[in-house]
Amino acid sequence: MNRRNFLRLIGLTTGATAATSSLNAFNIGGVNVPVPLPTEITGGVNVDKVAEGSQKIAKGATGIGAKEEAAIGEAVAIGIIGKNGGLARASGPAQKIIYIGKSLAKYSYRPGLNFRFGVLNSSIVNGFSSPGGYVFITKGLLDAVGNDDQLAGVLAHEICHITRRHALQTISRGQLVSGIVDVASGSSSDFSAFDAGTDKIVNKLLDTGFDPDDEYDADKFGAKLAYETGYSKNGLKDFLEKLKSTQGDSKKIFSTHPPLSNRISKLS
Amino acid sequence: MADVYSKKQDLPVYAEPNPSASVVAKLKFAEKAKVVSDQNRWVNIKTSSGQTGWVYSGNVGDRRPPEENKADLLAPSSGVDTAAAGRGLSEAAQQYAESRGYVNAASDLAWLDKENASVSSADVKTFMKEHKLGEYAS
Repeated sequence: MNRRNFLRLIGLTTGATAATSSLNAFNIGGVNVPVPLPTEITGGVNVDKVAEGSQKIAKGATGIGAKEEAAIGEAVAIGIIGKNGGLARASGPAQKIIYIGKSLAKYSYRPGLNFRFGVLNSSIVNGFSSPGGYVFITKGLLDAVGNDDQLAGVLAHEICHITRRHALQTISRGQLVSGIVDVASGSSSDFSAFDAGTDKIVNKLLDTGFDPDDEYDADKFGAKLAYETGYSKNGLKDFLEKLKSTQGDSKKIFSTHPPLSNRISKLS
Repeated sequence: MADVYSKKQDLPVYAEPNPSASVVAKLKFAEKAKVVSDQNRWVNIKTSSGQTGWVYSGNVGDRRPPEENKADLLAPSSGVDTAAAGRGLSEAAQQYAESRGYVNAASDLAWLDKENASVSSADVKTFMKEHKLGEYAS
């Protein structure tokens, strides 16, 4: 399938045409598609120049800038979705986690990041995140949470993996970075290296997960984020205790995270 | 006195601890302020220019945000729902989806972008007010 047909299939070939005071263009399938930016957002600023400026900002400790993070995050998100039965598209649950998730994101350390929240069509109980702002929980987890405080606790944990750049640090620490970043930035077209690197990231996230210290870090900062958003600071802990009381330390529950007992202990 | 740092650009500093109060100053991204006191998730601060007022605790942190976070605030997709939905996937992500047979997953991701973009910042603000979340708790 060529790229044009692929884009048509996933519904990305239609450009927006709403009347606005500022237009920005993105290259989609070789075609510059105008995307309107409302004046209340741009404030009359030349967005093209701002976007260019954002790329010049320091890439930080990971050496991975915003553009590269977005491309890597999209590919990793596709891998997570592909390996977990796709997305559950029922609008009700999806909208609920979007509202709670975006409320939490507002008070995160990256309030300007375009966070997106989705439900994976999987019966396991787990949550995942991808660089660039993608947060996923499984349908099994959504069915298991007892209330919004618990759901917010889980989402805040995943948001903090992104704001604390845990995945990007993992990439920059390892040998994955060389084959990925150049392609993600558009300076290389060695897509096979990008694909292989993305596979490694996806497999790590889905099979072994983050290092335990990163998980405890996300637990700690997630509890703070949930509290500052107005949810209980004990939502995640309560959910983990609920799971432990019904499932024990089953490997099928949060299999990519440290044992429930250890997480509960550190959150207490 | 402890210090706090703004997570946002042009963060409003209010005369009273609620978002309906008048704005007496604004903090730039990563700008530091001194903590005078705190009350129900609101922090009374003193800015570097000597102005005192209130900021919501979720909008400031006790550590300086990394400089690269500023890129989020400047990016075209920052808070721009329509742009995020229309942006489309990067070429690298498209190629990955094709080479790994994840065309349906890419379709799901495009749907996810649109579903999330359909919830605007104003919608989230309304939701937070209805549920008494964050700075809209009281």
